Amino acid sequence: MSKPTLATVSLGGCEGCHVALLDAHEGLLDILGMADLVHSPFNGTETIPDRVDVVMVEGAVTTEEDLRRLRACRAAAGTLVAIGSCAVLGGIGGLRNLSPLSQVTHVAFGDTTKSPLLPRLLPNVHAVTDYVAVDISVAGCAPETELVVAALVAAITGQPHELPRRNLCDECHRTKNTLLMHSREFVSDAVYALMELDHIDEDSCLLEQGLMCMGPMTREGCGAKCTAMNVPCRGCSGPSRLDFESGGKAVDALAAILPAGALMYLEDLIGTGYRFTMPVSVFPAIVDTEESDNG
Amino acid sequence: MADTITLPAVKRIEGHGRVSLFLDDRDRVSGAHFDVIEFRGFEKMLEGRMVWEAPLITSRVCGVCPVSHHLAAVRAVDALYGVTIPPAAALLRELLHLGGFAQDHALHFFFLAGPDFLTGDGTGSRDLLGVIAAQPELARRAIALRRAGQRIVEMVGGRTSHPVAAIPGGMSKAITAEQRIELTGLVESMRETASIAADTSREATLRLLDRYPEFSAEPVPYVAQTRGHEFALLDGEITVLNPDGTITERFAAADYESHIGERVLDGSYANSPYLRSLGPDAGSYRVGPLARINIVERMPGERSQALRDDFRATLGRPVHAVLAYHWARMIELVAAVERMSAILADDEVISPDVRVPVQRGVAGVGTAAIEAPRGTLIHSYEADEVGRIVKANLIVATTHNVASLDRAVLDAVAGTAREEALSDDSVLMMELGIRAHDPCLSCATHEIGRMPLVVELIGADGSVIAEKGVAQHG
Repeated sequence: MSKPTLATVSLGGCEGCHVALLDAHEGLLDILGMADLVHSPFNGTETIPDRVDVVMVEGAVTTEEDLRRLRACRAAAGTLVAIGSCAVLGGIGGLRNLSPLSQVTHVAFGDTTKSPLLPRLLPNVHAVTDYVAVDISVAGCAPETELVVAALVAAITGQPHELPRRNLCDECHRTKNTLLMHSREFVSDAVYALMELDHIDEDSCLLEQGLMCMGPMTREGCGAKCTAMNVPCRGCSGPSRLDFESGGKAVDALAAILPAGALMYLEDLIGTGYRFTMPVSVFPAIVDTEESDNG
Repeated sequence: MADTITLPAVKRIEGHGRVSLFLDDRDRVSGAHFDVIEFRGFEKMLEGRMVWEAPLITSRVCGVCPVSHHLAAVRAVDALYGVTIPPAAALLRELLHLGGFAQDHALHFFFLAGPDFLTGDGTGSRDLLGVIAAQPELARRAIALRRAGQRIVEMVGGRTSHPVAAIPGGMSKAITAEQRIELTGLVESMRETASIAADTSREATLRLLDRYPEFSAEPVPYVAQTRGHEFALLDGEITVLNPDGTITERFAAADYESHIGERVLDGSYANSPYLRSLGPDAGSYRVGPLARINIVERMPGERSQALRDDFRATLGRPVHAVLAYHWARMIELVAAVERMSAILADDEVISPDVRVPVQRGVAGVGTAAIEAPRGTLIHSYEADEVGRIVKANLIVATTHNVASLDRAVLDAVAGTAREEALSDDSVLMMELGIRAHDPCLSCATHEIGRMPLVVELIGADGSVIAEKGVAQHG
C-alpha cells in the first residue's frame, strides 16, 4: 500500500514554522518515512497535486495570491493542518490592520506605483480560518517543534489531535503568591518594561514584579520558555480558548491586580494584548476603504 | 492578454521569488529583475509599539534568521538609550548570534543549495531528499550540526525560533557553569563537520567555476561590517570595498543614511539600496559571505584564517564570481565554530553580571548594524520620550543584494531568444545564480515574497509575453 502524501505550504509569514519542522532534525526522517513529501519549500516538486492526504499551511492571508493558494490547498487536502499563529490567529503581521494599507505601503516605498504584475495586497491581513475550514490548528510563533510534529503525525495517521487547554501560568515555574491569594492589595503600583527593573527575581511571578505578562491569557504547551528566561510572555500561542479575546482578557486580568493609574503607564496595550491575534479579534481595526494602488 | 505557460519553478530559496525578463525589439533578453512579491509592512506596524519590544517583534520578520533581527533591534535600542552592556552580555549575544549563524549557513549549504552539487551523478532528486539519499553520512552530519546550532540558540536565547533573551542593557539571564560545559560540547561537536563542509564547498565551487567561468563575475563594490580588519559579526563599522580591492569608506551604522540610499522599484516590493558615493547605477553592491571574506583580513582562528588565505590565493581579491559565495559561506561556518569556542573558553561568559537597568525618558534615534548570515542588517528606530516608536527603518541583507540578484539572472540569459530563455538549462542557471546569494525572501525587506520562481517575459512594449512558473496550485 502506498504511503499517505504530505505537502507543506507557506503563505504570508516568516517561514519560521517550516524551520520549526526542520528542527525535528532526525525526527524529520521519521515523518518522511511515514508520508511522501510531494510538495514543500525544501523539495523540488513544483506543483501541489490535485489531491494530497495532508497539507500543512503556514502563514497568513496577506495578498490575493495567498488566498488563491490557500483555496487550492483546501481543495487538495484530505486533512488541512494550520500551523503557527499567522495561519491560526492572523499573527504578528496582523498589526498592519491597525493602519490603512495606503499608509503602510507609503512608509515602505512612498507613492511609487507598483507594477500590476505584483500580487495585490489585501486591505487587511487574515487568518486562514477566515476563509476555509481547518481540520487541525496549532498556534504559536513559532509553535514548539514537538507540537508541529504531533499535529502532522496525528493528521498522517488519522488519529485525533488535541492541544493542552490550560493557561501558560499552569506550566510556568514561577511562584504566584499574591496573585493566588485574591488579596485586596494590588500586586504592583505600576507597569514596567523588563529593562527598567533593577533586579529581576528569577522565581516569582513576573506580573507580581510589575511586568505585563500574557501568561494568564495564553495557551500552555510551549514549556513557558520565555518566562524561564526571565522574559514575560507575549502571548504568541494565542488564547487557550478561542472564545475569548486576548487583549480584552488582558485588561480584565490586569484590572484585578493593578490600580487603574498603573494601566495608564502601559502605553501600548493593543500592541501587547493583540500582538498575535489582531485579525481574529473583535477589536475594530482599520477598514481600508481606499482603492489599493498596488496592482 | 498575455500567453501564460507553466514550467518548473525555483525552489530551495527561503521564500519564493519571481523573475521578470525584458525583451528588446529583436525579441532578445536585454534586462532582468528578481522581484519581491510579498509585503508585510513591519515599519508601519512598529509605529506606536514600545521600542524595547522591537527585539521581540522584528524577530518575526524572518523565521530563518530571527536571531539576527532580535540582536540588531536590541542593539539599536541600546544605542537609543546610550547603554554600554556588561562584557558577559556581549559574549552571550555573540554566542547566540553565532549559533544561529552556524545553523543557518549549514541549512543553506546542505539542504537548499546543496542539492545542486551534493546529489552525485544527478540521477537522484535535486532536493533535500536527494541529498539524504546520495550522501547519507554527510546529511546526518549536517542535521547534527544544525541541531547543535539550534540548541545553542535555545540555551542562550531561550527559544530556537524568535529568541527572547537579549534585552536593552544586556541579557535577561546568565548561563551557568554547567550550561557552559554543555555549550562547549555542542561547539566541539560542530568542528569536524564544519571543516568537511569547507573542503566540500571548495571543491564544489571550483567545479562550478570551471564549468561557468564567466558567470556573473562583473566587478562590484562589497559592503560588510568589520571591527578594524577583523571578521566581526556583531559590532564595528560598515566598510566599503571598491571593485578594485581598495577600501574607500568606513562609517558607523548611525551614519548609514549619508552613505546608503534606497531606490524604490516599481516591479518589486523590495527597495534596492546603493552607495551614495557612486550613485544609483554604479553604487549597487553585494553583501554576505563573499563580501565579508573579500573585505576582512583577520579571521577568528587558525583554520578559518588558512581557509581564507587559500580562498584568496586561489581566486584573488576581490573575488567577483557569484558562485564563490558557497565557498566563502563555509569558511564562515568554520570561523563561527572557532569564535564560539574562544567565547566559551573565556571565564567571563559565566559571569552573573549580564545587564544594566535601562530607564526610558529620552527621545531619540537608535541605529545598529550587524552581520546577518546573508549580510549587513540595519535596524533604526526613532522613539519619543515614553519609548513609543515614531519611525522605524530596516534594511535587510537580501535587499542589499537585489541588484546582484538581477545581474546574476540577466547573466544567465542575456541575449537569448525567448524559447532559450525559458529552457530548463536557462532556468537552472538562473536558479544557480539566485541560490548562490542564499536570498531570504521572508526577510528581503520584510517585504518579500514567496511563490516559487516565476519567470515572465516582457516585450519591448511592456506587455507580458510569456510566463514560466508554478502551476497555479501552490
